[in-house]
Formats: sequence, C-alpha cells, structure tokens
Amino acid sequence: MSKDAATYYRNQIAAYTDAIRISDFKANVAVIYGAFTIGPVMGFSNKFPPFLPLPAVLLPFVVVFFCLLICLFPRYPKEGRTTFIIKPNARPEEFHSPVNFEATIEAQQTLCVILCHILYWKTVCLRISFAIYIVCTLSAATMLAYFWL
Amino acid sequence: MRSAGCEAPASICHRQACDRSMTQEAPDPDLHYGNLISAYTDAIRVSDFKANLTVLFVAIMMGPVVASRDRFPAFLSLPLILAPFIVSFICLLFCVFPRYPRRETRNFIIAPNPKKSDFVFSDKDSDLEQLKLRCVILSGILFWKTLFLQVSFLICLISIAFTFVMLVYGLL
Repeated sequence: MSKDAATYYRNQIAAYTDAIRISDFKANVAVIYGAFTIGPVMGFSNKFPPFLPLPAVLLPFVVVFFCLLICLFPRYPKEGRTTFIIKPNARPEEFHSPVNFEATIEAQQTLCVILCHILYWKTVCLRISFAIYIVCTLSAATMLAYFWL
Repeated sequence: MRSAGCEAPASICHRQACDRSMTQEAPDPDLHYGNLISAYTDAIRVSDFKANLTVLFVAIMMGPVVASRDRFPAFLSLPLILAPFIVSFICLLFCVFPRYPRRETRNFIIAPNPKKSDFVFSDKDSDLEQLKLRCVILSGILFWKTLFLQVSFLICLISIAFTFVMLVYGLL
C-alpha cells in the first residue's frame, strides 16, 4: 500500500461525506418546505375543482414526507461499528487503534463501501421526493393558469 | 475533512493533522483517537441538527392536522391523533437535551463561578486513556441521541404510512 492509496481513499471518503451532508441538508429544507406548503393547500381545499378531492391532493405530500424521512433516518451500519462504537456503556478497552497501515487502508475501504451505500439510498429517496414536488408544482401552475384564463 | 456527519464511522483517517507521511508503520494512536473524537462530535452535531429540524417539521404539521380533525373518521379521536406528536416531541427534546457527563468534568468544566486555578494544564490531557475516555463518553451520547432520533423518525414514518392508507381508503 502506498501513500497514493491512502490519499485516494481519504479523498473518496471526504467526497462521499460531503455529498451525504448536502443530501441531508436538502432533505431537511425540503421537509420544512413541504410542511409549510401543506397548510395553505388544506386551507383552500374548498376551492379545488370537483375532480380533485382533498385526499388526492394530500397523497403526494405524504409520499414525499415518507421518502424524505427515510432519507434523513440515522443509520450506522454494523460493518463500521468495529471502529465507530455506538454503545450506551462502552469501555475504554473497546477502542483500539489500527495495528498497521494495511488495517487503516482496509478500514478506509470499508468506510467507502458504507458511505456509497448510504449515499445511494439517500439520493434515490431525494430524487423521488423532488420529482413529486416538481410534478405537483407544475400541475398546480397549469391548473391555476387554466382557471385564471 | 471529517466524515462523521454522514452517519457512519467516518473520521478515522482525515483531519488536517493526517498529512503526516504515509509509511508502512502503524498509525499514531493519538491521531487515531483524535480523528475518532472528531467523527463522534460531527455525528452528534448532525443528529442535533436533524432533531432540531424534525421538531420544527412536527410542530408545523401539527397545525393542519389538528385543524382538519372534523374530517377524520370517528374512531380517530383528537387525543389519539395527538399522541404520536407528543411522543415524537418528547423523544426529539431528549435528543437535543444538553448533556455533559460528570466523567469529563476534569477536562471540560461547567461551573457557575469557575476560577483560574480550575484550569490547570496536565500532561495527562494528551494521554491515550483520556482520549479513550472521551470516545466512551461521546459514544454513549451518540447512542442515546441516535436511539431517540430513530424512535421519533419511526413514529413519523408509521404515522405517515397510516395517513397514506387512510387517504387511499378515502379515495376509493
């Protein structure tokens, strides 16, 4: 294992971490956006066209909230818990430093796998939510334009 | 360049100090535990951020849900509707509750009237045992934060899934 390998994995981990953090931030903002939007939508429920009952209007919100909360759900996979112990009553002896450089590289590779997996599911959930938001916003704009004209 | 915020054992390898020469020998334990502490701190911070925003989300959602109680089916009384909100609030508030365990008081004093003499440099501060102790404390804090956050997220997810079923049933 060379210096380049360690640098490579370190950069990969930093990139994954950054992407995950940005996904979390976007999901948080999207959840709050949805929560703020649902109030006025429900307030105007009596002005909806007859073909659009309130449950049909609320369904996209519910699906989006579900996806966003799945995206934000805290996960600490077991594969990574050998070095990153999460216990209510851990003992100092349970924390070990890597025995050699190869062990560090292996830990970095494991971490890359874990982060890649986390980022994949976060991205899927975030994409579904944003797609629903975009489609619903476009539908709302189309209907508003239709009734206004 | 810490990677703990991402809900995984991120840290471990980066921190500015990690720019040491990469040789075949075993990594510096001080550096390893320093990175681990950074990872825990970052993960705790991310949990706090999520909990704060989830409190906001639940609080905002409570208004429209309570306002439309007349449209709920008869078996869903108002206390039953409010129960998930309350439990979720309690969990989230426990999650963001500030905790400074007593085991750390030697290094991190929190007192109403501290004196200069309370802050004394000691060689033990850089001791591996101290670093491990800090890891233990942070691990415990992160465990409880994660548990409360997961419980409140699960409550929210189950409530949302239930709402989905009710809405679909209402449409059919």
